[in-house]
Amino acid sequence: MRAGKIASLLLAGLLGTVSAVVAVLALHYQGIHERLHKTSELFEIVMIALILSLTILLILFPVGASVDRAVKRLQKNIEGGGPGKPIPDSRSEPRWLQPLMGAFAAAVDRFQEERLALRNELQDVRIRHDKDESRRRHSEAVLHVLHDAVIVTDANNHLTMANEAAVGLLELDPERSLHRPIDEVIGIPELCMMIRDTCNAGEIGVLHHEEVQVPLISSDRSGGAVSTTSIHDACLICVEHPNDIVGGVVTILHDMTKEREFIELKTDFISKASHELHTPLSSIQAYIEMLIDGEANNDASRQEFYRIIFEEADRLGRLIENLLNISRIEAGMTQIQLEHVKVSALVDRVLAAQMSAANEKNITIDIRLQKKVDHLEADRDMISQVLLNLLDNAIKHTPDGGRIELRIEEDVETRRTRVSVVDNGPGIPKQALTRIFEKFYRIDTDNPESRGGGLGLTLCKHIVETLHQGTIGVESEPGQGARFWFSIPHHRLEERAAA
Amino acid sequence: MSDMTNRIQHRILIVDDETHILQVLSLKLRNAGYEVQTAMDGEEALELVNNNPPHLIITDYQMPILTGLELCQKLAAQEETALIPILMLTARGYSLSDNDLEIGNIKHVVHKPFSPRAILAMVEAMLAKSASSRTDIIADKAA
Repeated sequence: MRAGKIASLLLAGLLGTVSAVVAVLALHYQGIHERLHKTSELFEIVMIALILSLTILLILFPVGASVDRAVKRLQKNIEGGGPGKPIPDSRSEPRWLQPLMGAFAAAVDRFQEERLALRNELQDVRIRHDKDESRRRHSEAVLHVLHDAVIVTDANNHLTMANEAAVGLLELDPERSLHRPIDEVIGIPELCMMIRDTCNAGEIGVLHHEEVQVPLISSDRSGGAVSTTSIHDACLICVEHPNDIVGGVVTILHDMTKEREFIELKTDFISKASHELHTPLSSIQAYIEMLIDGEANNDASRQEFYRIIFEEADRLGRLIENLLNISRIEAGMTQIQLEHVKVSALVDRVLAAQMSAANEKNITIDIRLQKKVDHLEADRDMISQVLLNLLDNAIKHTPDGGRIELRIEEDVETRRTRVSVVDNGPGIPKQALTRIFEKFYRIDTDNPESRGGGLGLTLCKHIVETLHQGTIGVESEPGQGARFWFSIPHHRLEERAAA
Repeated sequence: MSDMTNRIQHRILIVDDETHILQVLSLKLRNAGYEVQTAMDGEEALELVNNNPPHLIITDYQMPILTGLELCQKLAAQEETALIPILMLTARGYSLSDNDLEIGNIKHVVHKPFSPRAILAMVEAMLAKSASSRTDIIADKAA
């Protein structure tokens, strides 16, 4: 039984009882109560009351049912209602319920419309929020992967954001630094001042560039702390708050140390190259001018001048050749032709070129070849050039009557062929050992007579390591000669053929 | 005083780690009648100057042990050598700042490659100037 029916039954019952009581009271007041002693009369009254109740019930029951139905329909409409659902038709209701139902349906309809609008609005807000959130995350991800340190401060110069690079560079505590004054969290007064000045100037959207030095603590090889500084380009910009006031400052710190080093390296290279190229050229020009001016007053000195001019021109030519070869290798423009180079043929070729220089200084060259090493896997011309350079250096630095050893052997473990040139010259100072393969590097104590262009060993390193995937090195104790060696992998041609 | 005798009085120190440069400049200046000393690095040059100060120094900039500039600075710091005029040779790539040039008594900077003829002319001009300025100093003292 539905609530409507129960309500109508209760209502009918109540009305019946009330009518019975009303009837009893009425009879009582009309002075007929004397006759009530007769049971039949009482029965009559009760019956009348019952009939009355029943009549009322019969009238009320359908009313209750139709109210119940209407309520049910409304409930259904409200529950199942949504965008696009028809408005409940009040014409199907009993006439007397129609205005009520109509008004009610219109209210529900308005409610539904408003609900729909609100739902759409909510959806819009959600989409906007998701978009903003993804944008925010995107920007944050970009900021965090940036190598440049980015810090954002508010109008009161309190830190509001710092990316990972900034946290690392400025040694910030990511938990505790936020929303605190920059002077308390950033240990570089110079930078704090720049931020404050930018904020005070309040020139929105105007970029300021300044140089700032950031102290760095790094550990050296022995694990000790070394304090250095890195040079940063600080780019500061005032950002606008929605209400046209200064919202704060964004500061980006770009590390210039590497760039500076690179520029210095480049400048240094150009200076050195310029010096090395100008020196032989100077000699050539000067001697030619001397010849023109008749300063060489006999045949012997004229011959000497011609010889010097020739040698210097040759030196200049080799220097240019080396410079170009190194540049080509560095630019990845040099292709090598790997082949089986017979060790005996290689040694013969190199010795033939260097024998006269060795004989001139009475230097003995000992050749130690391991029998099982029959060939090298290398580019014939390139590897000859390396060996020629090493032997040339050894002859230059070995005293008259000295001894040079040339060894070629196999390193079974590393599957490499190792070539060593050992001399008994003055050796190389310890501090020079790590730098000796650098371009134009020169040992200060080097005898000017035995100096080369300063590029020979750089070229050797490039040929061995860049072009042959080998290793080049030097070992030396001052006063006890030097051992230059290189090793290159073998069995690569077989592997390549198998592949 | 004849030109020749004047020249013989002047001693010039040439410092360069390139033997060819030393040789060519020595010959040019000796042929012109100067007395020439040579040194292969800054340290050797400093020793020679301290033993017997020359009238003029021609030095290379880029040298091992003691660079030409360091040599000039050391000479400028010593009263007895501070006034020796210096002609500096340098490869074009090395830029000397004006500040560098003010430290020592560097009168000219000549970039390599250079002409021995031009160097001789400069040496003559520099010596003539320093001789006249020396005369001025003597005259001042006399007054």
